[in-house]
Amino acid sequence: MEFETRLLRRQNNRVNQLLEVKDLHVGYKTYMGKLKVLNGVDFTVHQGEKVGIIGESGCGKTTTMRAILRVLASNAVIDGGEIHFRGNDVLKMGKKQLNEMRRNNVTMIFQDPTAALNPVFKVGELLADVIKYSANYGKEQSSQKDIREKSTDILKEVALPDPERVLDSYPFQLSGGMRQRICIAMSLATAKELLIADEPTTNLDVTIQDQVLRLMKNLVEKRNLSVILISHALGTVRGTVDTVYVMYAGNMIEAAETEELFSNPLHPYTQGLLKSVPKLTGAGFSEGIKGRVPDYMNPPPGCRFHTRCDYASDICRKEKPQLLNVDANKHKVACWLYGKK
Amino acid sequence: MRIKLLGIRQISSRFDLKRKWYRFSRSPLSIVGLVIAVGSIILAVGAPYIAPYPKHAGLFTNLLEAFQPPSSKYSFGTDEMGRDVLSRTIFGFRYSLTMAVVVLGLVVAPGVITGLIAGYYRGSWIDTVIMRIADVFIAVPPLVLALSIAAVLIPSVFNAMMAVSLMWWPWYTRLTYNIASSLRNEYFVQASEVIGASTFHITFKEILPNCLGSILTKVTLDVGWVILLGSSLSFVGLGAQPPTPDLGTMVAEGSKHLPQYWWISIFPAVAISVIILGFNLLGDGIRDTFVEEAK
Amino acid sequence: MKLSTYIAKRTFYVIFSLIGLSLLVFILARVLPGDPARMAAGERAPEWVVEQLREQLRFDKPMYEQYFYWVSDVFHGDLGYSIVTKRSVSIDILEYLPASMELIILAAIFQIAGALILGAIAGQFSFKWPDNLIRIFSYVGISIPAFVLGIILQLIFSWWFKLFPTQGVLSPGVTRPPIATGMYTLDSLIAGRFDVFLNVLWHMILPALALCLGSMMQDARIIRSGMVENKDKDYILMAKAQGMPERRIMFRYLFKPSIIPAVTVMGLDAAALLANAFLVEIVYYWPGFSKFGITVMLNKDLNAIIALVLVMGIIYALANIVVDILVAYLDPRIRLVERGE
Repeated sequence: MEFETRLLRRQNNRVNQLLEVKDLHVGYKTYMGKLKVLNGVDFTVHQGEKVGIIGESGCGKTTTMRAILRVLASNAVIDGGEIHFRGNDVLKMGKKQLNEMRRNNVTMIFQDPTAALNPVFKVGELLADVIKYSANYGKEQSSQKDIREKSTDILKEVALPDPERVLDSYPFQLSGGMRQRICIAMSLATAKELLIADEPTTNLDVTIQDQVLRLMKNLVEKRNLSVILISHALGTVRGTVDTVYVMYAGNMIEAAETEELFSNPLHPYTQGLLKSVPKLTGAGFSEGIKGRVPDYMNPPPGCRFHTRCDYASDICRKEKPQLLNVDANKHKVACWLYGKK
Repeated sequence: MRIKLLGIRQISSRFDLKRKWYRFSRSPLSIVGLVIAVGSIILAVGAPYIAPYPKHAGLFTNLLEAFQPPSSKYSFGTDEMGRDVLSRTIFGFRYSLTMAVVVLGLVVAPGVITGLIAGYYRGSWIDTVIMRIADVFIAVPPLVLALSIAAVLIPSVFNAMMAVSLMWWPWYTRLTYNIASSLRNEYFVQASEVIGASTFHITFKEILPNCLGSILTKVTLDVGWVILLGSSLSFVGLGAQPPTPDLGTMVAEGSKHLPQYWWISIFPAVAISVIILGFNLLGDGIRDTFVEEAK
Repeated sequence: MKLSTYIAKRTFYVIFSLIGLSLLVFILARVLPGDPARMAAGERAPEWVVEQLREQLRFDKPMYEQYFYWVSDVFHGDLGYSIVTKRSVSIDILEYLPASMELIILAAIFQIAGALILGAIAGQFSFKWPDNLIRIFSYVGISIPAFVLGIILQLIFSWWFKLFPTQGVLSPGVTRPPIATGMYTLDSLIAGRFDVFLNVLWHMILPALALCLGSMMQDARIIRSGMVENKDKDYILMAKAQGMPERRIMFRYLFKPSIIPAVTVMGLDAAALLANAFLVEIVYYWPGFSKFGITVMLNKDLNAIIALVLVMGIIYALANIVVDILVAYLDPRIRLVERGE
């Protein structure tokens, strides 16, 4: 999209904060103790904005997203924080309000399309359920024929050939790319405002990835959706979103407009991350980042990255840095190198 | 192939016993199972020394004191022949556990080996033949099969054991076969083949260790099953014959005197259940500890 | 493959197993020590009687001929001649089996209904007290042999609390309805004698419970595990994220995949009721095939034994086929994926 139009749109909507996550703490109870995964996550999505979240596997991206819709696993515990959607605190919502939000406002595409589709039901049955229960809930019931028609239309919209056959098939009879398209179709079967896409193309073949990604872009434009796109593939994110958040070990450690982040990474982790990407030109292997991802059972105090950081100082070991502006709202970073000392 | 005799420390580190014990001991029910199982074994082994009236376990009559309710003299009361029910129950442990040991001892090795072979040669005629034979035995409910085999034999403890052994081995074949054939195509097996390891080596050194957890679990649980089967056979009259103090036989004999002299039947009955419960809990605990969760 | 092909395959397989079983018992019976003809005739019978019997029962012919004759007899409905009852075994079985079948069927109904209900409760309240209680009961239940449970239930509820009759199928003074099917319940209904029907049911409850309680608890646990395991699966979380009402998720999405592993076990357990019925009938003096069975077994009535085993095997096999069909219907993956991947 044109740069000016993007900027204009964002400026128009800047005041319209769609989603705000403040200081979110989430842990998982396990056999051997509690995994304190999310350590105070802060991030914001504005109306019409496309936000990307990048980070290694296991850094808490999925946990954060699931917390937004409150579809965490049963051993998860929300230890603190707030999630505001259009001003309402999701964490305090009642069942009815929450379900309404899930039906009408926010939708999510899961990472593994095979796992996301109930294996013992036909696609048509699953889609019909979404239409019946998400869209028309409480309103007059559509007839079987109407639902079938609508399902076919939706499948056509996601470029699935032979929708009739797909509707009568079971998920395991279809290919990975088709399954993900079905998931996309299900999530957008009814009008929504915010789309959360959790690594939507990671589990697909490379050749299909591009197709699906482009399909998603199309739909997003057409329906004017706000998006949160999660990926650990930097390339995917770079070409798609306006703002990028970098996540590490349960914290948002940097956030900036896409090009700004990639050309001027501030946080040592981000710098290391970007340097790690192998380039087609140039010599040698990437450097990588020394050390390992922290143990969530006993996470390091203060900044969780300090054990691997070349610039770590005393305060890094004691106090966790907050995500603060360093460049007039265009760039935020959570690092003592830039914050108050 | 040389057989190395390992010391306790080596065994402990090789099989990571310390960690496994930690994991095992987290579950209180497993500990209960272990206690019951060990207790049963102690009772079985030490029966002649632990039972207050060891002579009552055999041919003994004292009709003057028959049908005594539980008292300080006879903790479990006496039966229709004046024998102490407690002593006979303790000896019953001995018979039950002996049966389990004999049957499993006979059955596990052949079953596992056939399963390994069938699993390794999966898809070939060896596989088909072995598994079809095994399937015949598995297709029939255990009790029916045991009854039918025991039925054509002269009732005795020994024959009951033989009957159960004969029908039991295929279960180990099937268990091992399932694991072996799924591992067959794993990379580490193929890697061994590529570097020229012998079939024997692959089967016993690579595949078998992966089966041990499941086999151990099944053996423990099977102690319970064999005892259940054995006592059922005795109850019907096809196993141990009176005056042998087999728990099943005791229940059968005692059931004639219900409900007034309930202790003759009930104590052996509860004893059977407790043994089985103990080994079931233990088996579950072992399964949770030794068998890796496939996540 | 289609459902019908699947059924055909399973049936063939089962018949094969039955043949193997019959062969096994047949051979065993004739290979083992003891002279069957002598046993049939009795200790004191003169030699010529034994000879005559031997010819009559074909014990003098070679093994394969005996087997051949036996098989052809079976297909003519002739299961041989019982030494004990001095009449055709088929008649014996027809007389005693229906009563056992009705007990088993009632037990099966209890078992399935109980397992489903208790399993769902344990799944819903997992790790809380209902679940723990059911868990304890399941451990106990599976450890207590059927006959032990039978005796204990009889002692407590029949003798001590006098809630149920202690034995038999009809109270003294109640006459048996005219024999139509051989099943006391059906016969009484057919004859229009509702009071007899109730009387029979009253007598059936304890033995049926003794039969099914152990398996019921175990099956409940399996259902519960299935539900707990699937509760956090992506396809359930996705349904939640779509805003589908909890109730619908539980009963439709969670239930179907969760009971599939249980159905197999439930089927096996229901079939195993057959064997346990043998034991429980003895405790309650139920007029089923157990008395007949024990008598023939103790008397080495070979023909009767083999016939009985064969009949039990057939019933078990039929039950297995039914279960297989049910599972294939519930889980499309099983019937639609080609075997031997």
